[in-house]
Amino acid sequence: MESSRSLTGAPAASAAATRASGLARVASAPLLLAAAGACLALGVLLGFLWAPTDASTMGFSQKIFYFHVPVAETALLAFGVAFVASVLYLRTSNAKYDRLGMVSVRLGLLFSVLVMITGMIWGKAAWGVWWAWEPRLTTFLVVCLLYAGYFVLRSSVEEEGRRATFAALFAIIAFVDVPITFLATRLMPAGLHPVVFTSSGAQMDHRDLIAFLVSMLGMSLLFVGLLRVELAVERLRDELYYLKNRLG
Amino acid sequence: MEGVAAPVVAPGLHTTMWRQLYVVVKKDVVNELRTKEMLLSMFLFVVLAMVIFHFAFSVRAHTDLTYFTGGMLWVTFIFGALLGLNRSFAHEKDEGCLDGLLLCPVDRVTIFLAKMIGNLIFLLVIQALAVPVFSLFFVSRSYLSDLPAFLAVLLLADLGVCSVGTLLATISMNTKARDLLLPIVFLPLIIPVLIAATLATTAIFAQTASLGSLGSKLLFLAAYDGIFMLAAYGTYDYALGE
Amino acid sequence: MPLSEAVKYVAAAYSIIWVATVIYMIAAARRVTALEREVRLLNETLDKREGSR
Repeated sequence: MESSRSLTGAPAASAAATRASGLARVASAPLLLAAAGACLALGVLLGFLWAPTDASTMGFSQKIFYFHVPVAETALLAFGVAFVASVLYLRTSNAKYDRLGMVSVRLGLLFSVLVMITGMIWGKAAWGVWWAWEPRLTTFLVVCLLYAGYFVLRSSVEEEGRRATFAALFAIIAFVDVPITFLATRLMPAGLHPVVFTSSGAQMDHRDLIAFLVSMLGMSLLFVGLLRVELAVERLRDELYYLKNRLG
Repeated sequence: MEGVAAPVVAPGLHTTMWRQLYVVVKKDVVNELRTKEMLLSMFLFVVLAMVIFHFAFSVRAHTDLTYFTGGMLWVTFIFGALLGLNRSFAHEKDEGCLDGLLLCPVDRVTIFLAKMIGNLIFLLVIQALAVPVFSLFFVSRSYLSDLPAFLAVLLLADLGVCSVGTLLATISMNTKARDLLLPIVFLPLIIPVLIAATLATTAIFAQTASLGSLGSKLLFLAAYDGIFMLAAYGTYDYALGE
Repeated sequence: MPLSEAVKYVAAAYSIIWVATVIYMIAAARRVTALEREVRLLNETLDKREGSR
């Protein structure tokens, strides 16, 4: 019997093998995800056991900083990747860049929501309120709304090529807007809560810094790992679509 | 006649970008002004919005809305601009004007500039009518001495609104959701303009303006305009598609 | 804020990130498995169709 055709040229597999390969695909970034997990765990340990407890009013709740800020920076990294992918798509019209862009934005949005959630928890712990219009939270709220619009835009266009083009355009414009929004929210006068979530006190103790950097690395690795997983999913989806079309 | 095709360019004549720009802008503006209903409707909308703001905020007797003035003004203009953009691009799409224009040997970027300037002129006309009304309703002091500063804020913010709005409207008009999509993508992007313009305008109306602080807002707006017009310049070809 | 209170919040923040990540991974794994199964089925159908010609 002829071997089946597929976009990736992979041969047909039995049920058990499918299940196994499914998991293998997910862990297809096994090194990355393992490294991410290790880094994050290390970061947590360093942060809690090694770095000194914050002396300012925030106290123990400052520890949230070790996850909150890396998640924020990783979200921005994701949007940056989407920006580059979008530019590349516009120049080459290669669908793989559109896929990369969409997946990056999705992950970036996920991370941004996490920034908001951890930011709100930190706010409650440090200042006693669930929400304050402080610059970083506000910026990320706008960023979330902005990139949510990316998906609304995608779902409004039926034709594939156009959808990819418009999405790429929007990802570019949106990313340009992120630093502008960042600056703009700082123009607003400080409210009742002069909340600027900086690191502890005036200077970051070098132990804080190392724990933070380790967490940062872990979060970035997590992003790349998740990216590869998502890309595999999307590639499969495209293959499915292609096969369905062939079957008519 | 509505939906007239692209402006005729005499063959063999060397047409510069400026001339093309002028012709397209003139066509758009003449079209809009011919139907004065559009102007009237927008003006009515804007005034109605102001009235609604009064009812929305003056819950207590003698509420002093001085520090809300900048915000109310710009919310009104931003939502008015959204309506205007939607309407003008929808009309354009329905009549196929844009397709006619694309057949012309006009540079795509010139089309963007022309559309943007057309929208800008329209917005400025509305504002010229609406700002006096707004001042009558909400602004207690005469800010004529600060008029240059106010006009600068107005113009720079309008440029931001029109450049981003024109770019996004071009994209969203070609989608299923059309006029539902435009606000969703436009509003988050225009927030920086809203912030800077509101702060500057309120400072002028409430007379807390200091040159340094106003200067920074104006600079911010100018930078925003520059960045997004550059972005539009780089991407408008793709926005227009085939 | 007393330490016991603060610990609860910090734990909550960290747990949310871990939980979200784990849920995401599980969802992705399930999606991959389902998609691969479908792809396999379609390939087989395609083979049968072409084989019977």
